Amino acid sequence: MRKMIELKNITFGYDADSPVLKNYSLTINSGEFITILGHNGSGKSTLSKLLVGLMEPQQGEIIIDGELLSEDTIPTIRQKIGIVFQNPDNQFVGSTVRDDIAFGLENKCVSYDVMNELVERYAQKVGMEKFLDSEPHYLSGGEKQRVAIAGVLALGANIIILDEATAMLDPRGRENVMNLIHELVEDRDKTIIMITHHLDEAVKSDRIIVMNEGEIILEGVPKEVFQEKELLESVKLDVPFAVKASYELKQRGLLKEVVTNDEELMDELCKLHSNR
Amino acid sequence: MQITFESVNHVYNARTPMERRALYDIEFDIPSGQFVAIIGHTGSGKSTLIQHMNGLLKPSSGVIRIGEKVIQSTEKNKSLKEIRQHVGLVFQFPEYQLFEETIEKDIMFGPLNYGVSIDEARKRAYDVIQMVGLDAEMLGKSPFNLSGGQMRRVAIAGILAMNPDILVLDEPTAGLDPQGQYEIMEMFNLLNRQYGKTIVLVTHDMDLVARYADEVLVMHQGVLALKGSPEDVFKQIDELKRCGINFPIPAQNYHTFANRLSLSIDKLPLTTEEFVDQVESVLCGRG
Amino acid sequence: MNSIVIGRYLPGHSLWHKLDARSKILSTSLFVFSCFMINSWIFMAILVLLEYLVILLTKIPIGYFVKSLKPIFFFILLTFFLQVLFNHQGEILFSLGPIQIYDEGLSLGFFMSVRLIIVVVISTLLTLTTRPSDLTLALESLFKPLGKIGFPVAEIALMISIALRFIPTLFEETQKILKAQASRGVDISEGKFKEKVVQLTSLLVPLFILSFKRADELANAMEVRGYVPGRLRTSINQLSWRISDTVLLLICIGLFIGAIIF
Repeated sequence: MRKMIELKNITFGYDADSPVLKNYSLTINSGEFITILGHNGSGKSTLSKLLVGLMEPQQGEIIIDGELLSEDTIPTIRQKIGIVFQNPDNQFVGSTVRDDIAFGLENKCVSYDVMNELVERYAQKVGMEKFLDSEPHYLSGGEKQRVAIAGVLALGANIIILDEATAMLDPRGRENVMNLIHELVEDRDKTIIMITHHLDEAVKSDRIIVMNEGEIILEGVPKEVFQEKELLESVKLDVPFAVKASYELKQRGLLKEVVTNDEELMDELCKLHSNR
Repeated sequence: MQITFESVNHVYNARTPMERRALYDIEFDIPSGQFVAIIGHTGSGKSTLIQHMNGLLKPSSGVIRIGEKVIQSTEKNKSLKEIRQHVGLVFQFPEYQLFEETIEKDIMFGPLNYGVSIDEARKRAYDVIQMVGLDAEMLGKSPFNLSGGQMRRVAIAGILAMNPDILVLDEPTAGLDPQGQYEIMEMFNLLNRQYGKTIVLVTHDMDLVARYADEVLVMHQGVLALKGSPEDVFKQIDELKRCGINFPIPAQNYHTFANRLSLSIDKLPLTTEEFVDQVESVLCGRG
Repeated sequence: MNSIVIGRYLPGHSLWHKLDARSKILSTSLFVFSCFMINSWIFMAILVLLEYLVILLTKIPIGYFVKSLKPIFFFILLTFFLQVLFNHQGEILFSLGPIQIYDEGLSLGFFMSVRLIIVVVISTLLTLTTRPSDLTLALESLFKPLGKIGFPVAEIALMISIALRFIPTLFEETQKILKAQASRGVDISEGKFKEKVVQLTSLLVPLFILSFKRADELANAMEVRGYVPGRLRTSINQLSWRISDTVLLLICIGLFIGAIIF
């Protein structure tokens, strides 16, 4: 597997005494869907700002797609990496959906015809093709986030960072954005890093990284990570319902194992019922 | 203090090309001391509804009674200001209304606007900061150096300092991490049980509704579609689906479980504990 | 939010909507200049009629224009009364104590009010029927010659476009903070001066904090999407000048010349 992102011994802090990230190392492979979990202030959003070169670590190096992140390589690296931020309104630059998807392409000096083709293709991909001429204040938060994702896709980035991209959305908006993300994951041609504090959004990821106070405290596939119910709760994270319920059922001697998602829970319970 | 809505209608921008009707003949009452949840998806009229409770919006027709006070379309602004003292409205992301140099001053702002003496306002600031679970020693600090969750508590303290009987909360947990959400909801619960405040909670989180609410109002397209206890409301599966409302996750799962085993459903579990109990009794109990 | 008209765009398919934004800006400017130069009622009647025809063409309800006049209603009234009360030309129509009304004052008061109204309406028409992105693109294109002397035309056009895009957001935010502070007992209409200052700060401080936060996040979002100030960019929006644009412009040049002559 090809390494897409490598963080080597990163230390970063806004002031020297209290680093937000401490000697942080992480490798992410090409095509991986990875979720970084942590409560507010655990350092997870700092990580995303470092990756896109908005901030610079005091120590350590960041290598993206084989290239060392530095002042000189930032422009080329930014072509490979796209980010969707938390606040849907504050990243919508264009005055219409079409303008906003095109913003990055305009900066790249893409020609009019190519640009139009790309904008329409990716508007369709995120299901916003009917809204190309809509202005942002007529769109819901979820719709704006989908437009932001289209903007990233149109630029041809092969790494997508979603920095709490669903945190300000209502349930419907969140569901739509999560469905879109899962669709992108199925395509398998993007490396996707999702930063969130919702554990239920992490269920389908290849790997989960749990952060607390600037350090990785837990790492693994969802199944392994969710077994650590107590550890997760101790770092202020809430485990998904299926984990909680199966954990409790295990305590009562009904289930043998903690399961991670609702479907598995149903299967296990039905099995139990028919075995009786 | 009781809240009563009598055939309340609201039309935005009446008699202009942008006219839009937001509420249709809303009728309900909320007894003093209740914990009420208002649910409905975005654009269902929830936010218009709660702005009528403290007179930020006046009904186009109909009557709202808050205790002895009455709000009608003809109401003067002066008497509306009076009502706002009794009905504290906490908007979404209330931390953005902070503006003073110190936490204490910010909390005192509301009471002072209502002519409370400086000494009394200061005393209230001292009391309410503890009600929201912060340390009184923080009073002298700037509100802008706090964490997001703490800022939100300070903003809520600023509303509590006016000593309202009713607290209306618009998505108070939005943007907080799970721990922050839990703590703030427990705080409202305490304000309800211990201090007797009537709580009106607007939320998208059905698990919060299941856990805390005595009564649920379901809004859909400007109409009050359902009203009742969480148990009763969450029983009406088809009606809730029509309103585009999700069930609490335990209820969703139990529903699937029961369907797969063709069990009859007497009651849907609303919390994880209830779910586990019910599943246990299906698997072990009754033979 | 839905109550403001300024800077708002109403999508449509009329001939007027489809005109090139440059010809609309130029024609509107010529129309406004003509309007300020004339002083004959006949000419004014022609302008009013033309404007009315364009409004009919666009099928936009008159209510929008009435609404757009609201913010300057006081100003129109003031202009009218200043003329009526202090313009002492022509013959006295009637007098009431110290107040004397002259026929020319009255006529001029009317004339100037009508002038203001049609100027505001034609400008509203321009913004209501032109996409903001086209407007800024047209401005950028019209001011391009200034770029040769080092004037940052493209940057300013982008700035205007972003400012326009955030007007509704800012308006919404102001409303929200006003309501939040009203819930804490703020009532701008009452209280002494000192109290008013505090109450105004309670609105302005949060607005500033939010705007700075927004500016910061927006700058980040633009930067990661490869925006570098001063560097050449292409545009997704293209203007296309057609015969109808030339015709419109010629009509307005004709009007303008007429206005100079009469």
